[in-house]
Amino acid sequence: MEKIKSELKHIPLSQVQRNPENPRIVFRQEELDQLLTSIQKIGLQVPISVYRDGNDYIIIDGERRWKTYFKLNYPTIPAIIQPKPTELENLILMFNIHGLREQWDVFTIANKLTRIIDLIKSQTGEEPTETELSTETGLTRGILRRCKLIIALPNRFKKIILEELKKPKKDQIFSEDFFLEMEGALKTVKNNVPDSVKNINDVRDVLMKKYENKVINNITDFRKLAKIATAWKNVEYPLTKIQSGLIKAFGDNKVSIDEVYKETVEALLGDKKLNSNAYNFLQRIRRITSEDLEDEDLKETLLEIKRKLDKLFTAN
Amino acid sequence: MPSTYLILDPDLHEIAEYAMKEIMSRYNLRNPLIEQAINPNISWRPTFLWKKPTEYLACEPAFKPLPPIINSNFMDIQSSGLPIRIIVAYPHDNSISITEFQKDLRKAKQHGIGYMSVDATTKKANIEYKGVSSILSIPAIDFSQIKSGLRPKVIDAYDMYMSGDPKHGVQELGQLMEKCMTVLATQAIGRGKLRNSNYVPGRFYKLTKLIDELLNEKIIDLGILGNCRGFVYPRNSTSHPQDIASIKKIERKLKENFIKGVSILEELPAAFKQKGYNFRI
Repeated sequence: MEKIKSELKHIPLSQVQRNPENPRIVFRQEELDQLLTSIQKIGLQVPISVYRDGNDYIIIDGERRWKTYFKLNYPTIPAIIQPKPTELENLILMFNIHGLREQWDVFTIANKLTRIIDLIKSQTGEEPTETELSTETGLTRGILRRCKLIIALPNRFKKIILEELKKPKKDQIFSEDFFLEMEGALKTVKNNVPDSVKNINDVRDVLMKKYENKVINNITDFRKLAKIATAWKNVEYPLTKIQSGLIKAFGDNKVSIDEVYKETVEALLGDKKLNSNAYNFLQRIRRITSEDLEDEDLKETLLEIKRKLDKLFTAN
Repeated sequence: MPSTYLILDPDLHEIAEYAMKEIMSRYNLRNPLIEQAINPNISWRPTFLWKKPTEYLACEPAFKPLPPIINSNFMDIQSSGLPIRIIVAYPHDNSISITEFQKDLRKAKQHGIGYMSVDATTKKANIEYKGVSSILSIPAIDFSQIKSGLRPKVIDAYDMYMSGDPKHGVQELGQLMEKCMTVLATQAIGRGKLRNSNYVPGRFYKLTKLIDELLNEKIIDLGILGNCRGFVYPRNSTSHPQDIASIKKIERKLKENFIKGVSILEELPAAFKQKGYNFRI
């Protein structure tokens, strides 16, 4: 994108218009109230960004600040005036400004990302790669992947996220993080054990119900689903058992993911982890020199390990 | 047709509609101005504003009974000197804690800010507290200095004043003062004073005349009796104002009078005692 020239001015509130392309669609009242108190106490710390469109100024960044100023009946607002961007530049500009300053909700970003992809596609004739998209928007590839998970959700689940986002973080049940964890796990399950998921939306409904009823206690439990689904290649666990375990976890019952995990792959994965740790430990021991053993603490720890291992092998 | 808002939170649109309809029907008003400033010096654009000939009535739909925009700008609103009555419309089903909710109600009442709950399910809006014009609002009165026997009655008068009935609040204080004066006059007659007065305990007697007679014979401290006279005189002089300028004058006078009345009732017992009279009201 070309380097743009901008100027700082106090502009009349009456000439400021909201940007229809603003990806941010949820403004939590609690945050607006905090901003109002802050502006009244210490004033506006960061000017809004606008571009001129005829007699009006369109907001590129700062809709919450503009709303607060409007509610406070202030006549003007400090603004950085930039040249009118193209639609794509407008969107990318907002992404870059926000990416540098504050963390948007993934839903907010995801919502406009599809438009950015479409616009780039129409300009270049090709869908942008993750790296290109990351360079343009200033978003990390990790965030872009999270966005894609949200974009792929059916609308009724997106509506649930949108409703939840309006609540303060502490009151959110089906938060973005819930869906991101669930979708990440379901993607792995579908790729590895496709037969365990007949209807993905039914599975989503069941998992949400289980979470709401506290059968699933933590959103990180979804990671165990991914571990179960990949156990056939990681620890050679029988695929049939994996499939029946997952079907049980996805069933409308009181069986938690944790229970299925314990019944199926936990022990094997635990063994694998122990094996891997022991192997890494051995590799490190091979590099220990007599000089290292001058460290009394290290020496004592290694001797303790030796004693334990001797005892273990004598017993067997 | 639903109103169009520029900045009102979409979750409050329904609450706003029911609140607006309730106010329009209760006070027989037409469509309000939406998100318009009352005055350039007031840092608040109410969601609804009715410019009545004698008062500005503003309604603010919010998630709680005392939203920060009003709480932090109330002094600003009050010092504008305009007769602005505020009613906050909050959702009947709200998510704020009981402690915070009660704190909000208490503070709103203290400032004379009205509030109404709106139940979007039953489509009912209920004005729970009418509030008073910002000119009339008396946010804090220390009742602890008032003699205990008199205190509940003064508090009742204050509640009446701050609940949208300021005239009656002042009249209540006037009646208390009238009682004080007649008790004083009865005791004075018993001591052989007020010989030229036609006052007969238990019979109607014009209060201003009685205070003049108490003043003439210096029954108690002249300063306090003079203040009583000043309080009683304009009490009945209110007319029906036709414009904002007249109502401003009248409301300022009402407020001054109420504060003056409370202060007199605070000082009267000591003045009675100084001259050996019993203060039994």
